[in-house]
Amino acid sequence: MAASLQVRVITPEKVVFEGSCTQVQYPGEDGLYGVLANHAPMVTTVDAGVITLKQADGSEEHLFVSSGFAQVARNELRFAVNSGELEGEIDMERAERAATRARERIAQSKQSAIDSIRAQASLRRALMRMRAKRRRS
Amino acid sequence: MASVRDLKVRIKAVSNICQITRAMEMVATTKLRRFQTRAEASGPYTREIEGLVQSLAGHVGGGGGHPLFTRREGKRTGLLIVTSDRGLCGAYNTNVLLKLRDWERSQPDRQFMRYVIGKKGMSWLSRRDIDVAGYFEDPPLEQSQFRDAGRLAQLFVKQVLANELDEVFLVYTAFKTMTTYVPTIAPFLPLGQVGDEVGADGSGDNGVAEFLLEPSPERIFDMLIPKYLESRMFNALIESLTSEYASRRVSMKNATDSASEMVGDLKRLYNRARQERITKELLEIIGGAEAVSG
Repeated sequence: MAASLQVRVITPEKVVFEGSCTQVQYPGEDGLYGVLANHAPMVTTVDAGVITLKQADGSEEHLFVSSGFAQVARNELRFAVNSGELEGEIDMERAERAATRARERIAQSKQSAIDSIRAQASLRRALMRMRAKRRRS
Repeated sequence: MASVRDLKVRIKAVSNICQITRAMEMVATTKLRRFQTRAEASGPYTREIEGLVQSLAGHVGGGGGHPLFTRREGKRTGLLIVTSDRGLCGAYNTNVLLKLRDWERSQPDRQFMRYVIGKKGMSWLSRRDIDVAGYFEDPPLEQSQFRDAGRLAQLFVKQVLANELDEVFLVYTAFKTMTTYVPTIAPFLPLGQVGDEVGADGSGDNGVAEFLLEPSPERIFDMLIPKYLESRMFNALIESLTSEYASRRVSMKNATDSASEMVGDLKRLYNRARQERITKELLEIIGGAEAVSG
């Protein structure tokens, strides 16, 4: 069996995932990070997107996270993120509604830069939620 | 002595009150449990964020120079006062508000901008003609999520950065145990040297110097500070909520107890009065019968 590391995904509401994985991929601000066992200690920011966890038993788990931080040390990888949802928990309809709403707002808010940035961020979150869910099929 | 009928009416009234307070006690117990669970659930996140602040502080010189860390000369003080929307929770609101009053009196050179959560605090202050700069009622505290706390935190950050406020304090109720809740006035902004705040000097047990930091220490720190403030704000709110319900539960329990004690006393009176009436009637009948036969 490949060496593994302990992964925890922590949000203000609960601990979303806890388990041992052989390989983890997560979205940073500058692109995807891949973490294997015995990774050097590291702290990075996390952007809205999909975390892919290859678990010790060979199965794969995907989960959606929004912005936060990841910290690796001593074969322990901890995410502290605003929200995190396992793919089974994602509400597709809600995400689609949010995406539509965000698109409308982007169309309307050509003048105000802040509104537009906010709407783009929420569109991004909605799309990433959907992507995390679709992965399965 | 009150008549038998009056007593009956009172017994009925008091036992109705008893029923209501018992129901409220039960509601408060369930809600208390729910908020406690939420408070506990956010624990790991808070610890994680605090840990990161602690490990990173050393990297960016304890935040020196950052506007949110700079203590200013000015004395425009923002206060966020957390009270409840509903009453019947014992001295919960009074305790916070009296603490606030005493503290304000002891700080004559500060100029206060008061922001209030909760109907009770709002009416207490306006009854005394005390200025309130802002009143947050939407969403009500009970339904507030983490991100609502985040929004509140950001609001104050914005005001401090825009130089409208020099410092911000939270006036809330800290939840210690089920029976101890302490009204607290805690500094929120500016942040002290991070080291003192979280009790470390940045050289934590992780040997931070060896950490890879991406994209950059400054970028991480800039992102981390708002999160740190958000989680502190959230904790203050949820602790206040928990205290409110713990306090309400206790006062409703006391009310139920004294109501049922009162029902007992009244029943005794009632029985005695009834007995007396029967005895009197009997005596009258016997007296009457004797008069006829005699």
